[in-house]
Amino acid sequence: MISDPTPPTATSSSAQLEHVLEQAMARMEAERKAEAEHAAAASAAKETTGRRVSIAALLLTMMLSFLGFVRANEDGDISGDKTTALQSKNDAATEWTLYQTKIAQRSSYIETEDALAREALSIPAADPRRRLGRFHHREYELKVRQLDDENRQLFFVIQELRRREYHATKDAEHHARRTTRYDMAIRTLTLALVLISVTLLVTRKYLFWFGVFVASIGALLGVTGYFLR
Amino acid sequence: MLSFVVIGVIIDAFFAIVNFYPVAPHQSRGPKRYVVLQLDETQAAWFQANVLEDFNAEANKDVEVIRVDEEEQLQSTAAKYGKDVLLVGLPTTQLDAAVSKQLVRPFSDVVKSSSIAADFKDLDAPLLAIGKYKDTQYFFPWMSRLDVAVYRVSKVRDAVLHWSMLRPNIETALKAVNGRGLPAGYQLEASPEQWDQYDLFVAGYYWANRVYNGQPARPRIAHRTGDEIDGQQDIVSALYRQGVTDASLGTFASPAAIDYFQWEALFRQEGVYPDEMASGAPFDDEAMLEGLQKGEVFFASIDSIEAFTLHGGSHKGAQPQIDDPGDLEFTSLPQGASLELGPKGIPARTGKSFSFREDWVWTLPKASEQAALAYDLVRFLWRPEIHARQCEALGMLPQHPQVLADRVSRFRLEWMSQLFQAGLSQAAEPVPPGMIGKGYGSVYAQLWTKIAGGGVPPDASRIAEILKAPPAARPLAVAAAAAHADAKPDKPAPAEDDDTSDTSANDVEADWESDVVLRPHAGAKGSDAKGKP
Repeated sequence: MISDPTPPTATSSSAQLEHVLEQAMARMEAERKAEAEHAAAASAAKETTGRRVSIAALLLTMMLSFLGFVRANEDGDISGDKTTALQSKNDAATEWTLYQTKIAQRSSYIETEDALAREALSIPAADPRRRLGRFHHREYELKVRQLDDENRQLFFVIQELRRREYHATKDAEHHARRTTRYDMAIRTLTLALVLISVTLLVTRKYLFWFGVFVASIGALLGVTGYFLR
Repeated sequence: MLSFVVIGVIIDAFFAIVNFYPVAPHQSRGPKRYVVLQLDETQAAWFQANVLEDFNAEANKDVEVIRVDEEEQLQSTAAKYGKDVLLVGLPTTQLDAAVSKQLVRPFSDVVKSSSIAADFKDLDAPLLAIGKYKDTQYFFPWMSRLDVAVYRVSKVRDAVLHWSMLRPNIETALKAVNGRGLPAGYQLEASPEQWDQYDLFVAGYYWANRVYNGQPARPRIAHRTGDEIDGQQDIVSALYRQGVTDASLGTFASPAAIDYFQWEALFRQEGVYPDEMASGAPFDDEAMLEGLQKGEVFFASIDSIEAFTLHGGSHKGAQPQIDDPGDLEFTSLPQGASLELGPKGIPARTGKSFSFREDWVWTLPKASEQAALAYDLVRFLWRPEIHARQCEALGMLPQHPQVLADRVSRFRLEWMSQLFQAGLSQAAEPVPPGMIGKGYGSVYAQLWTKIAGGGVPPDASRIAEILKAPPAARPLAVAAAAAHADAKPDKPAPAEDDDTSDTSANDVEADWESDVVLRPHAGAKGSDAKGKP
C-alpha cells in the first residue's frame, strides 16, 4: 500500500470548501432565478392589471359618454317642455286678454241696447226712428250673441292651453326625475373610473374589484333611469 | 374577466341604443279597471277624456268610467263588475247601507294612516272628515253639491224697474195676511243676492202679472215639490232658511215652519207658483229644468251641477241647454223672513240663506283587487290642477284649499265664479239624518201638498192646526231613470222671445220697446193695468 503524500485534513477542507461554494452558487442561482421569476410574474401581473384597467376604463368612458348624451337629451327635453309650458301659459294669458276685451265690447252693446229701449218709449210707434231703433236693437242683440259664442270658443282654447301647460309641466318633471337618476349614474361611474385608475398606481387588486362593484351600481342607476316613469 | 367585459359591452351597447330611442318602451297597460259614477253621458265622456286618460297615461293603466243615471244604481253596477272596479262615487246617504252590507272596505286597511296623512296633508281636516266613518278614513271625499238660485237677469231688471206699478196690489195681498203689507220703507233689492222672502214674493207677484211678448201672464217662480227626494230636500231646506234647525225639524208646528207654510200658501194663492207644482205628480229637477229651458221660469232653486249643465259652455262638449245662457245668473238662495211684521214694521223673524250640502265620497269596493291603484287614483284626483279641472267642467264646488284660495284667478268666467260664490257664501250643512231616516222630509212634503197645493189660505192659526196633525211618513219613492230619460227633450226648447231669425217681425212692436203690460193670469188676484214705467 502506497501512502498519500498530502495530509488527509487538507484534502477534506478543500472538498468542503468546494461544496460550500457550490452550495452558495446554487443558492445564488436559485435566488437569481426566483428574482427573475418574481420579476416576470410582477411584470405579467402589472400587464394584466393594466389591461384590465384599460378595458374597464374604456367601457366606463364609453358608458359615461353615452350617458352624457342621454342626459343632454333629457336636458333638451326639459327645456323644450318648459318652453311649451311657458308658451301655453302666455298664450292663455293673451286669450284671456282677448276674452276681457270681448266682455267689455259686450257690456257696451248691452248698455247701448238699454239706452235704445229708453229712447224707444219716447218715440211714437209710427215714427221711422222706431224702425231704425228696431234695426239697431236686433243688430246689437246679434252682436251680443256672437260675442258670447266667440267667448265660449275662446274659453275652450284657454282650457286646451292650460291642459297643454299641465302636460308639459308634468313631462318636464318626468324628464327631471330621469336626469337626476342619470346624474347619479354619471357620478357613480366617475367614482368607479377613479378607483379603477388608482389601481394602476397602488397595484391593489381589491381596489380594482371594488371599482368594478361601484361601476355596476352606476350602470344599474343608469339603466333604471331609462325605465323610470 | 371575459364575462365582465361582455357585461360591460352589453351595457355600453344599451346606452348607445338609448341615445337613439330615448323613450323607454311601455309595458302593457293590463286589464281594464273601472270607476263607477253617476254622471250624464256628456259628463262621463269629459271625465274619461280629461281625467282618466291623463291618469292612464301617467300610471300606464287602463281605467274607464262606467256611468249610471241614478245614484241608486251605483252599488248594483259596482257589484256587477266585481273585482275590476277600482272606485265607486257614492253619496254619504248610502254609506251606512254600503258598510252594513259589506260592499266596501276602508282605505285605512290598504294604506297606513301615516301615509294617508302625508299624502293628503294639503286637504283640510274638515274636508277629509267627510270621508271618515267611525273615526277611520274609510272613504275619501269626492265632491259636494248644493242648491243655488238661478234667475233671468233681464227679468229681474224688469222687476226692479217696474214692480212699484203693482205695489198697491202687493200691499193689499200682504195686508190681508199680516195686517200691515210690505215692511216699512220697503224697496225691492236690485241684486237677488240681497233678496229675502219679501223680495221673492214681490218679484214673483210682478212677473206673474206681467205680459211678456204678448203671451198671457203666468207664474214665473218655482221650486221642487212632491214626496220624493228632490221635493223633500227643497222644502226642508226652505224650512231651514226660515229658521228650522236639526233640533226643531221634528216639531212640525214650530214658528219657523208656520212662517214657511204661510208664505207658500200665499205664493199659491196669488198665483206666483205654477199649478204643476201642486198637480200631484212630483215637480222635480227635470220639470224645473224644462221650465227654465222654455223660458217660463225666471227664478228657481237648482243644483249647482244641474246649473252647469243648463248654462253649458263649461267644456267643449257641454252645449247650452237654454236659448240665451248670457241671460242666466246665479246667486245664493233668498233669506228667510216671517210674514208677520214687528212693531217697527220689519219682519218679526228672519232667517238665512241656506242649502243642504250633498257630499259624495270615493269608496273602495270590497271585491276590488287593485286597492293600491285605487288609492293612487284618489291621490291623482285630489291634485289641485285635476280638482280645479273637474270643478270647472262639471260644476263641483271647489274644496281643495289651494283651489279655493286661487278661485278668483282659476275660474274667470263670470257666470262660473258667480255660481261658485253663490254656493260658497250661503250656509250649508249635510242633509239631516232625520229627513229620510225618520221620514220628516216625507211629512213636510205631504204637508206642502195639503197646505199650498190644497189651497189653504195663508192664515197662521189654520196652518198651525194642520201642522199639529201631520200625516204619517211614507217610504222614500225613487223615480225610474227611464221615466226621466223619456221626459228630457232632445234639444232645448226655444225661449218664447226667440224670434231673431224672423225678419218679418221687424215691423212688430217687440217687448223691449213697449210699455209694461200688466194683466192678471187666470186664478190670480192681480190688477188689470197697463202702466208707464
